[in-house]
Amino acid sequence: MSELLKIQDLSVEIMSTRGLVHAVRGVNLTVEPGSIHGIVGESGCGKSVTARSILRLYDKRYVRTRGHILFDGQDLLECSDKQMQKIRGKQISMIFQDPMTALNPLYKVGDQIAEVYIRHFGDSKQEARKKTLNMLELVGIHPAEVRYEQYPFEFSGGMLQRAVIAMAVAGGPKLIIADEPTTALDVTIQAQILELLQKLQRELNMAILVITHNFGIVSEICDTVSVMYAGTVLETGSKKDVFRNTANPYSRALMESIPRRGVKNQKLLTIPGIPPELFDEIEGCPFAPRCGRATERCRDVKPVLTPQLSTGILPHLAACHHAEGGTDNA
Amino acid sequence: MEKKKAFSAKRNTGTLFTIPVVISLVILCIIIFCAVFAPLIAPYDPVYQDISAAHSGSTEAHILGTDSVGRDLLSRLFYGGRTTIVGGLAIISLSILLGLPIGLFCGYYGGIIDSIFMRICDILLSFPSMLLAFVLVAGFGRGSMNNAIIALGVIYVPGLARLVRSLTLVEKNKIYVEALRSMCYSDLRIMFVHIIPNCISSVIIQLTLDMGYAVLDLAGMSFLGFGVQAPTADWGNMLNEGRGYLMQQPMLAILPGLCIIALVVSLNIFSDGLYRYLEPQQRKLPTFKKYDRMREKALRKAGVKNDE
Amino acid sequence: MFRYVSKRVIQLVIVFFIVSILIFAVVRMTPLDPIASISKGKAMSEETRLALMREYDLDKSWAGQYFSWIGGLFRGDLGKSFQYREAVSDLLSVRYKTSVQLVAMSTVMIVFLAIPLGVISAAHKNSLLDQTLTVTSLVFVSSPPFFTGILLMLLFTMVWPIFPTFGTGSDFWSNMKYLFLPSVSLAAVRIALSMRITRSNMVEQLQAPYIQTATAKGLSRRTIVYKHALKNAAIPIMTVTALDISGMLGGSVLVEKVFSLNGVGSLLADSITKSDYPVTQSITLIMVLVFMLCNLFVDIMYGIIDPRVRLD
Repeated sequence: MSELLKIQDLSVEIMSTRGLVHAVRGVNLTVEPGSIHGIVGESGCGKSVTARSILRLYDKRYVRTRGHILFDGQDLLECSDKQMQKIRGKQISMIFQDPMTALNPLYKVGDQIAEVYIRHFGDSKQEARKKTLNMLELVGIHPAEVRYEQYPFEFSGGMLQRAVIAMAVAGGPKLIIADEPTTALDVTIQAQILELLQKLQRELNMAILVITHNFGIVSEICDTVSVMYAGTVLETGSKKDVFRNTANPYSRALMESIPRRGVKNQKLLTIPGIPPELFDEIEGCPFAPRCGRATERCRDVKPVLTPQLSTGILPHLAACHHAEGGTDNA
Repeated sequence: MEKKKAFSAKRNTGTLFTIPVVISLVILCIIIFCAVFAPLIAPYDPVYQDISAAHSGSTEAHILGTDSVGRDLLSRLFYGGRTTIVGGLAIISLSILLGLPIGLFCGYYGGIIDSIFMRICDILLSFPSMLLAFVLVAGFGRGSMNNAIIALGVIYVPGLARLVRSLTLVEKNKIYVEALRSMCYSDLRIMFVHIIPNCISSVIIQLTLDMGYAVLDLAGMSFLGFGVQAPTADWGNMLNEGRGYLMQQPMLAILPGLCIIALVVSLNIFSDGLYRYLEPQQRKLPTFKKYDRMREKALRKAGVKNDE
Repeated sequence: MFRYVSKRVIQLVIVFFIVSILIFAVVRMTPLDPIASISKGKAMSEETRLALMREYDLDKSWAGQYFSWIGGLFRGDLGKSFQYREAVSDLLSVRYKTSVQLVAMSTVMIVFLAIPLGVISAAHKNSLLDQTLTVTSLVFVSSPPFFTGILLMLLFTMVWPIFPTFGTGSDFWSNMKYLFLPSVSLAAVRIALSMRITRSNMVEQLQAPYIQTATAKGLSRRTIVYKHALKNAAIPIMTVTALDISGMLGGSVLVEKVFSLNGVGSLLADSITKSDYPVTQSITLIMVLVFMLCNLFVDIMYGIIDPRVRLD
């Protein structure tokens, strides 16, 4: 068993004021140790919910999960709350979308990072402070001594995201989940943050699970990719396979809707329609109503992930009746 | 296919009429009915004194008994509800009459008028609210219901004006206001015809809540003898009169007190229900257990139909 | 921080003077003739009348009366009561203890009951405990303090006579027993109200994004609730506690009457009834000052807790 994280048939239902949302409907994906995996999809496709389910960051009275999330062979959905507390921050940690609200406004930034050391390694305040100062240097917050004593409102957005990253890295996790880590930041800062994440990933040999709606980020930093739509994974595989040998029409449409550098007169594709609501069961392929190639069969029978042309050792899977292994393949 | 039609996980927008709200509405209706039709349903004149029957307990002639001067308690409760509700409504009307335009103008125009009125509000809010009412009553002359109502009306103005002001501040920066301005609509028209309807729901929630507090405050005033005067029946002053005979005839004090609580609790529940209805985020979610039961029931019902 | 505090203090002083003018003016709108309330309506010669006017500063202009009142305030001289013909400060000196103790005991109840219950309620949102507390608080919020008082009185005289239901004790400790029921009836409404506000603020804070960060760090639920969320909810909780004290200053007038306590509140009610405005204006001003000082305290705490305010 070489996978670090293996999600099997994950299903998540969330009670909301508008009804029961079946946000994740049977997700399968794997993250290899020391690699960067990206989950891409439109907003509301269940990618964030999948990420949050890994750390079980939800109110369990209003969220129901099925399936398995195996981390190092241990099923996180079966863990007790106490066990989860030991895993969070130490084995798996998380980076959030908006750094401006991610930190407690009333505590010093340094102390909030030091909390991780005190909690997970039982360090004294002085030890934790020393380690925090080193960590601040590592993520590029200078001068560490001064910045340690400051409050979140005295930081810029980019600096705060660095602090949040420092907090995530502090416990020495094997996996970091980054939920839209650059969406709330200026474009110029985005590149710096991505660079920092890549650098830390290499130096500390962690795996990162990046949640994003931006294919650009995927192509820049990811090793493997999963494309999600309406709570299911439509295509997954190495970046090269998904980008070069795209098997699912939705993945292709997404890729064609982003401008590429150096291509003149590129026609940007738009996908007609909107994603389906996720309350009741969806018959057939969830993308069928928006798909140009949809047939009768697409509307009636839900396609499953089947192996596709793969150029590497990692499998390349796609769920489409028109793809290889699909019944409508012509 | 049948399964899908029988039950959908999507719920329609919630209803205002949840069980607590319905109960509170029923209580409110009963109280209002008794108050409005007091002259028709009350067995006696509320101020008619039958000294010979004073301090009677529950008898055939007087179901709830009589007070120290032989007035029928039931009749006084009906008429007392009238005074209390009218008083509460008057206080709230006064506060809305002053608070709404002040808040609207301050929020819409800003500038000097705004800062002057807001400083005045600050000063009024630096008083403990009941104390301000006491001082005003002392100034206007105590012992008249009208003065008590004016005094209490004034203390609700600053809170309401601030609420309306903050809502107006949000609304006036919205695009529809800009659009109306570009069509040369007058400021007054924009404010009263367009902004008010957009912020009225929060104001109504606040008003139902204030109505409850106003009833309590007026009862307090009457209790101290600053509000409704004897012999007029009012739940507050009935409570005060009944206090003297607490050991002999506790119902004289307890019943008006319970009436006040029933009225105010109902107003609070109604206000809370309205809030949850208008702000879906505040609605309580069903538990999975309840949800599954609902679903099973719906499916079973559909199943029965299919068999037929 | 120093700038912040001094700004607040200056504001307080300005508002205090405006409020004092306001009180002074409103109280003098009374349609009754002060001399009539001094003499209790008895006929008198013009000479005695003038002498009385001089004795009570009534011969001075309004401005003169105001300045002699405010000036006296700083020397501890609040003028003379019309009905008792005694110095207001003497009247207060025998009564203030009861009222201060009453409000203090109620405040203690609020701090040690309402705030913890509200926090627990929010931490276990929608649990059985939370729902029970919500319903109970709804009833107490809707019960006028004087009615709560009457019910308690009835309960503890007829059913379970362990607390005295009227009068006061001889010293501080025996007074605790006498003032227990009055302070419960005074505090009941405010406890219910504060609990609801504490709860809603804690619920709001527990949904804030930083709570998710704290959870993702692996902190225990206890640390998250009591360290991270509570500190953020502390400001509104303290603000409402100050409002509680303000509400209880007004409520003490009612409760002191129910339990026949000889305190400042009942003196105020009495003075309004008898148009004894030197007493009315002085008590009101003192109560407003107490409330303003509470608010100043909250503002200072605000600065201590929140760096954004302090460093502004």
